Amino acid sequence: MISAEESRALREATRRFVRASTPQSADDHEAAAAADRRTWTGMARRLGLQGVRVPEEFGGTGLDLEAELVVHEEMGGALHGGPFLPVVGQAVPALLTLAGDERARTMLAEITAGTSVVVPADARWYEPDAAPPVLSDGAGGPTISGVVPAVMAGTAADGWLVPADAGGRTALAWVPAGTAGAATEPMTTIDLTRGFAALRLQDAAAVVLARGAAAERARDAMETGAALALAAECVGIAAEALDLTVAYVKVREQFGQVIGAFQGVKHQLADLYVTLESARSALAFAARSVGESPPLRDAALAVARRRCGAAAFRIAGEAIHLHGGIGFTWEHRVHLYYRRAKTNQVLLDSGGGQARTIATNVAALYAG
Amino acid sequence: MTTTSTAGPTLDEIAAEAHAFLAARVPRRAPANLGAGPDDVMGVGLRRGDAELAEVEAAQTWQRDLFAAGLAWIDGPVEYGGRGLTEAHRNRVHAVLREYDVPNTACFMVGHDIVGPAILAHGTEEQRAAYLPGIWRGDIICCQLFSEPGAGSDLASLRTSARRAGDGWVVNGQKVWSSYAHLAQLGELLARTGDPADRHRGITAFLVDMDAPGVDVRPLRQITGAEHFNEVFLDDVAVPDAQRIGEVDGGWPIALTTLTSERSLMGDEHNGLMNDPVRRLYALAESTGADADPVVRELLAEAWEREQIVRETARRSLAAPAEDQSGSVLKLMSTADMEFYVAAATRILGPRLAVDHGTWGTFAWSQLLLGAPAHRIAGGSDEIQKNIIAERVLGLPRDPRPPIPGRSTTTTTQRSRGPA
Ligand SMILES: Cc1cc2nc3c(=O)[nH]c(=O)nc-3n(C[C@H](O)[C@H](O)[C@H](O)COP(=O)(O)OP(=O)(O)OC[C@H]3O[C@@H](n4cnc5c(N)ncnc54)[C@H](O)[C@@H]3O)c2cc1C
Repeated sequence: MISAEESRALREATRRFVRASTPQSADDHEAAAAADRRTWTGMARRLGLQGVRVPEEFGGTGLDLEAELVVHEEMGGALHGGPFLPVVGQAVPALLTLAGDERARTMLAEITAGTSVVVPADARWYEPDAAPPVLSDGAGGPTISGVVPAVMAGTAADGWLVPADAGGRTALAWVPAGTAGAATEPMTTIDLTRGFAALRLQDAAAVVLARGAAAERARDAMETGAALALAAECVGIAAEALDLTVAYVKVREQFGQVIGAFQGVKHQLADLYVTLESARSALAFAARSVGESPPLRDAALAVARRRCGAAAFRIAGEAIHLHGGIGFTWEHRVHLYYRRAKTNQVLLDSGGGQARTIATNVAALYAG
Repeated sequence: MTTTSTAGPTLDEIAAEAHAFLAARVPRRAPANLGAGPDDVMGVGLRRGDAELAEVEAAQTWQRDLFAAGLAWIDGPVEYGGRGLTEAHRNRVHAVLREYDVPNTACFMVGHDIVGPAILAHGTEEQRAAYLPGIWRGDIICCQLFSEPGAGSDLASLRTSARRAGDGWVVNGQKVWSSYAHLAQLGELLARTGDPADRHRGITAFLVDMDAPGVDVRPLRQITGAEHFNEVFLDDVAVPDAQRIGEVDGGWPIALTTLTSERSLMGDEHNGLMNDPVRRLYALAESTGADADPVVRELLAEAWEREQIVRETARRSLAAPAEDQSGSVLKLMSTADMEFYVAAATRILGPRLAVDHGTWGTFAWSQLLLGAPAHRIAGGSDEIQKNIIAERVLGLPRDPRPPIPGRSTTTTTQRSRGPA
């Protein structure tokens, strides 16, 4: 475990770097939609953030999950739009489960060095019932076909890690960008700070990194990592939206006093603070439970998925509201939190799936 | 304002008349046509620039026909272009209108529901004759020039000034968040004519020609991406005294009429702020198969329940005394309902709410998600409505507030926008 002091130093260094390199307004985000390679390499060279959890033997800093979550939280608070979440939150944990494989180790080293952007494209993650792309083993080597509906940072990638169906077994395929038959199509999204794209694969040549149980382990690591990272982002979003609002109600005057002096406003903000603390606890609980028995681990993760997304959305919505008219403008950045919060929330929990996960696993725990 | 007619058509007759008019011109709307035509849930359009102008032109053409057929202003006095029937007749016609894919007429909302009623209630005979027919025929688009950068909830602190100059007035100041000012020919302005320390007592209402020299309108982009509200700079704008509404320094009661109609508007089931959200939610749940989920069924049940309650409250409010502040009640209900519908759609759509997959009737909910926060802010925020109910209906003491410099009285929500 990293010390409180190390954690604080990591948070501050991340904050300074990410805020300085993240656009502040909706227009700037739209203009900077293309991959920002300078920030990506700078982040690796100056802070080693991509390797926060990569063991030192592969060039990383080898810190723990808690440290990684601090970084995701800061990314959320800054509304950082680069591929950090999918690469570090999703691809790295997946590749770490395959670290016995030379190709996986090379990819980890390149990610850590900031020279490669490896983005997972998991159909199931965005649409739980979506059919995964199909992997076929032909004479000329494996090829992959299918559509992955919405890939976070999909166009910014150097290649995609694609969970696929290989004759009824799971396979994890690597498709480098530029492969014939692989194309991305940017999508209209509510989050203006982060790009999503559909990935269309038509007989694209693929490198198979794992099959069967190993591929499933990698895919699970991808899903767990993404959930934790998104939940941590939500804590960052919520904290920042609340800070922004608290600062505003201390200066905005109506009826001859700052609006923060009205009990109606104070109580709302105190409530939001309690909501934020509940999200922090949910995240800490999930992070602390990753090594526990599967029912407890899965239930704890589901708690974070439910709580953190809901907290961020609620706080960001109230943040708009407490800003009054100015909060409803495109220029003011508060709506960017609302948009990102809602996006993260629906990725974390949809259709009541996480509540069912809790109920099932807790019943198993009690039966246990 | 309602002239009750004894000899006019019955409710069924007026409905049949509206059906005949509409069926000859426009297609039926969902559910008969679900999956075709516009899928917007939010009533306020999202178009900008030329697309918005084309939309406004279509709305004006439509409105002229509706007016000519006597179906535009059902409960308005005949002498100003109305049909002279009751509010019940109006509601019935609006309900029929909602069944057809009529052009989006949101650009007339401020004129029909906010400025028009103020002119009718407080305007001179000349003002009524000059403006009301045009407003209802769609020739005159209106805006409300109330809020200022420093005067939102606390509307009574507004600083835009009107000074006497010869027979008229000269106006200077800045307004903000003025919806449709970029399209408007006529603005209802509140300006300070007395001492700022007099707060609500030193305010006068005027009708401002938006094309007058010195009026500078600058659109502001909203979080939906649309540009519906504006900053309006008023620089030595000459306003004839004939354009004054009501007494000098007597603008506050007029502001209250306006704010009351605005609040009731937001609670009116036919207000055009949303297009049949509940029916669309049911259709969405059915088309996605989510209606098999018991939790979704419970949400659908509550959605319908909420819709009936807000409608019934609107109906009851027609007969309720003003002291009931039913506008505030309706407004709070409807803002909460809108958030509820968004939450229900979120449950049904999941990640499809965040990404546009191009399926009919889905991303429209994402747009409602982005538009919804406005309704809790505009027309007097939730907190202001709660203060009104707490103080004026329940009779609770006012919040302690610091004395306004130069006066010993405290500010009341009655005197604020009470919006304020
Ligand atoms: C989409 C939109 C359209 C609009 N259209 C028009 C228009 O056409 N014409 C026009 O004149 N105005 C218009 N407005 C302005 C609207 O009336 C104001 O935004 C509103 O009155 C709030 O004022 P404000 O923005 O200055 O916020 P503030 O008054 O600064 O309020 C900020 C926050 O503080 C809270 N607050 C303020 N006072 C209190 C209190 N006493 N107790 C508890 N909480 C309090 C508010 O509820 C709000 O959450 C529009 C606004 C929007 C968002």
